[in-house]
Amino acid sequence: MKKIFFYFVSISVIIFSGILFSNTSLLGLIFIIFIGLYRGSATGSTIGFFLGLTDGIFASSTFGVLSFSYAVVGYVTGRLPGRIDEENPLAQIIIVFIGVIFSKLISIILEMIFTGNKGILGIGWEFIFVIFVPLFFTIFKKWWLLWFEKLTVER
Amino acid sequence: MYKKNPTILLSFYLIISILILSFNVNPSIKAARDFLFYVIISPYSKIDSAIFSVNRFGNNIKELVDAHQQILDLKNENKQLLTDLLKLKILEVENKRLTEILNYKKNLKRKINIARIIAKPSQQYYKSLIIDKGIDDNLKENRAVYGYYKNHFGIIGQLIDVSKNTSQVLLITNRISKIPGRIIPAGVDGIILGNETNELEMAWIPIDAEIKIGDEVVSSSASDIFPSGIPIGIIVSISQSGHLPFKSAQVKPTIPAFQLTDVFIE
Repeated sequence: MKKIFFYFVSISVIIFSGILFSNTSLLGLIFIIFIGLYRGSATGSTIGFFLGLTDGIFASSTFGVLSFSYAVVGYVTGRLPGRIDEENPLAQIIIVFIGVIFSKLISIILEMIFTGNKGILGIGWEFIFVIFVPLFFTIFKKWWLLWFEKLTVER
Repeated sequence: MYKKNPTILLSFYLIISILILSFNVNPSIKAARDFLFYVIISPYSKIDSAIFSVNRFGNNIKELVDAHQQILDLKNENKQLLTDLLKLKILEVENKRLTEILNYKKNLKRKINIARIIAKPSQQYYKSLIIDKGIDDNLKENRAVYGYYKNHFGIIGQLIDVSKNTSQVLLITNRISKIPGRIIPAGVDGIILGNETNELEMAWIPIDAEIKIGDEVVSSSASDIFPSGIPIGIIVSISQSGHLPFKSAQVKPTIPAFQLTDVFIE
């Protein structure tokens, strides 16, 4: 129950920060990857689905696209081999970068299939966020430890 | 249980997502999306509006403080400008007066010094005044003193007491002043006496002299202090001197000495 409340608060904070500061559009995806890496693919895909669903309400994309792509990203990060060091800042940056690209690709494909809109895979200024991924991971860890005693890797 | 089968869980999520996507144009899906949007955005809009109001209130206070400070600054600036304007006006008047004096001095053929009146006691209006030039400026006693007032030049007195840096001027209106004068155009001479009022008395005018009110009185060649022909005043009234064969005239001085700030000394 505490975990559900934790995820609910986290998603709310991410969504509201996205509304208040439109520059933080990647924050949700970073959080999903963080959860996927540490809590496994089941939690990653669940958080990805709900965060994508909520994010989809405000996003200009077709409703359902983000819930699909975020759920897939959360699942895949939870399936990454155990030998990948999730504490390594460089690994974090690379995983998030690939995750963002992957998510965008899925979104474009889905938009094409269901709406016929031909999307463009653009690498915008928001990718600067990727550089600060280790910082966000540290913040998320602190945030987790504020609620729970320890953070164990379950993938 | 679901943790052991994450793939099934993902499949479930993907199916739901695809269903949502498939029925995206469905009005009920759209309505659900709008409802969720409203539920999430309405508290945010209230928070945003409150933050905006607080910011606006803060900005208003800041603007008020800034405006108040600007008003104070402008008031001070205005005061300073008014003071400067007053100074400029004083300087303008002074400049105009000095320019007139200098222009007049240029036209004079005689060598003239200009001195500033430094003391003019009210009880001495018609008796004397003190100027800021003395022996150091080559002044001596019994030198003629002139004044320039409203485009008129005329005699106002003579130096009687010259010290190092100051001198006393005996005014022609002083009771002890007696200078020879001539009425023009009649060309008759008389003695001009001061009586410590704003008028002079000209005595010893031959009784048959053809003079009238408005005639000009100038310095006579009989004077060894004043050069002849310098204006002294205008006749304002004429009277008989008892049974003697002379008459006298009241003369209004050309230059009101108490109005001056500078004098000319020959």
